[in-house]
Amino acid sequence: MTATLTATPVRVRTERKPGTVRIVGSLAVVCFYALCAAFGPVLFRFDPVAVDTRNRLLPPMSHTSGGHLVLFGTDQVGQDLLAKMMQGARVSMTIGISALLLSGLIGLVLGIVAGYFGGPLDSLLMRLADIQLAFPGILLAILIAAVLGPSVTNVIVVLSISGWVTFARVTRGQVLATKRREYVDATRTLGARHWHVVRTCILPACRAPFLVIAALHIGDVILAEASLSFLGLGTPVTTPSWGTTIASGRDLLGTAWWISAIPGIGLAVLVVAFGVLGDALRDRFDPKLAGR
Amino acid sequence: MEPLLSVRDLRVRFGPVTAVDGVSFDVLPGETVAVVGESGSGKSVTMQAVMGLLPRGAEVTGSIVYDGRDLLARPIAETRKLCGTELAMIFQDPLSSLNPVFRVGRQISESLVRRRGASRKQGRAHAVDLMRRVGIPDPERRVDDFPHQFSGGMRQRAMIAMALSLGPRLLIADEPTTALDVTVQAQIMRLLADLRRETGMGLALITHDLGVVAGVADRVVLMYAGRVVETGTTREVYDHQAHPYTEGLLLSVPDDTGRADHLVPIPGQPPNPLRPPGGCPFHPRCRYAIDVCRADAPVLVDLAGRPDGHRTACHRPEAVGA
Repeated sequence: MTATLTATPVRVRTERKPGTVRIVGSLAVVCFYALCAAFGPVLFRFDPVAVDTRNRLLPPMSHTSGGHLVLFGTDQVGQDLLAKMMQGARVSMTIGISALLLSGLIGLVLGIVAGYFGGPLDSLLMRLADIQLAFPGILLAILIAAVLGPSVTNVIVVLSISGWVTFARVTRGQVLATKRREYVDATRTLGARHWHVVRTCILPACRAPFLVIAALHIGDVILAEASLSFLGLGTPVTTPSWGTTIASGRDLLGTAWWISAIPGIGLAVLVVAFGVLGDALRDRFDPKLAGR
Repeated sequence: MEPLLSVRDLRVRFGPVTAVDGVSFDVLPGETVAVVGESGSGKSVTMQAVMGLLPRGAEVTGSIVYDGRDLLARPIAETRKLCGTELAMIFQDPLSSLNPVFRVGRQISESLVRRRGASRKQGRAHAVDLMRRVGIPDPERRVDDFPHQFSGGMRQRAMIAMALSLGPRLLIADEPTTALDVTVQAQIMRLLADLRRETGMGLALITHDLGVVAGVADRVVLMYAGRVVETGTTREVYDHQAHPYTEGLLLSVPDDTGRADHLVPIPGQPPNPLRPPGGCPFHPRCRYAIDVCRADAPVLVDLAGRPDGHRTACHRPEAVGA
């Protein structure tokens, strides 16, 4: 007697990893901004000193006297707000990314030094971090910015100094959790020196939390840059960032709301996109949250 | 014969806790020495001291002489240079002793590439070779796997391959079979015994399982509360145990009948390392204890009338097993 077995097709589980939709969605928004920042100023020439009094204070979706559409309206000296925002996106994102990389690098190095070598150096660095955390971040940034004066480089320096603490603490925690693991001891018993252990065992373990913190932090950095520029302590007026644009429209809120509102909305959307990205990355990489 | 490793009067303190209290033993070239004791007896700390793995804040005194060089008198960087080429170690839990982010083959070949300047390609061939030697099937394919794709026994084999990569003369195995199931335990122990015979290296085996010791060790060192309580050749210690702790351990090994109710456990708990009992540290659990045991700590001395090298730290060795 023979039994025929009809093979049923094997169903492969195609369960999506947590947060895929959010990661893709927020990355799309971020990429859109990045493209605007990269190519926008090439397509829409922006001249910071150009004045066109005939076309000043045009509301969004109106036509200039020259006949072309201004999507976001014009400001008090007749500059196209769309072109100005794209230029602003370039400045804001450049500052955001540079400050993030610099503070990430400082935080990573100090966090590894503190966590790996421990001892008095660890205490010193972490107490320094505690002191800095006790200050409101923006207050510290204002203090340093007021001392250094407004310029793009100074803003990057200021934001890096106020941002390294988070990176250092997270990195240190990860280093402490990793350095007594058996595979680290095993690497040492094969004769590896500190640098090799850090490179092959410690750094890979820090990668995921570092990425998550970076994504969560970059929104804060861009927002802090806008705040500083709004207060006149960030980028100089000749380099229009979103903060300076919002500040310039402040006096005209009653008559020309779009000058402040549209860059504000643009800023909010980008910061929210980074926040969602950071949260989604944390959900994916944090094993403690897995299975929820 | 000149011993390969000679530990003399080793003391390790972590703040108020004395984890290792005056331990001395030798490992001769090509010899298997088992260091036996229950959890907290200081056996792992002793080996970590040898490998320079103790955490900051550990106070170490005594001497650890490897091949004529006192490791404790030199900076730890000197020990690191010997690690891999002369000394190697394998760990209790093979699940956590491989780096999860690199392929197994790369981890096995890493020391050859870094220390001997081999190319990645030579390293890979070397890794395949080693993996075949330690009995990993289909090494050409498995060499590119990540640790999580290996089973527990295979990971321990991979660890052994890593440790043997540069041909060390002394291998320290810290409870290499504790995390594995019984059939795999036997395979790993046989593999270690075979490799020791092939390479002629010394093997220091840390274990709490006297059953494992009987088959492979030439000599045993029994530790209790950070001290050596008895040492000698395996045969001699098994047949003529002269310390009540050894006797207790042997009685608590399951015999052929495998009946749990035949086992005689040692009563009581190991001493609190913060408040060790006065006198002999074993006296609260010892059924032969007399007044002198409560007052004086016995020292490790040669046992009268027994072959050389059988030493015990007991006031009443003649009472044991009588």
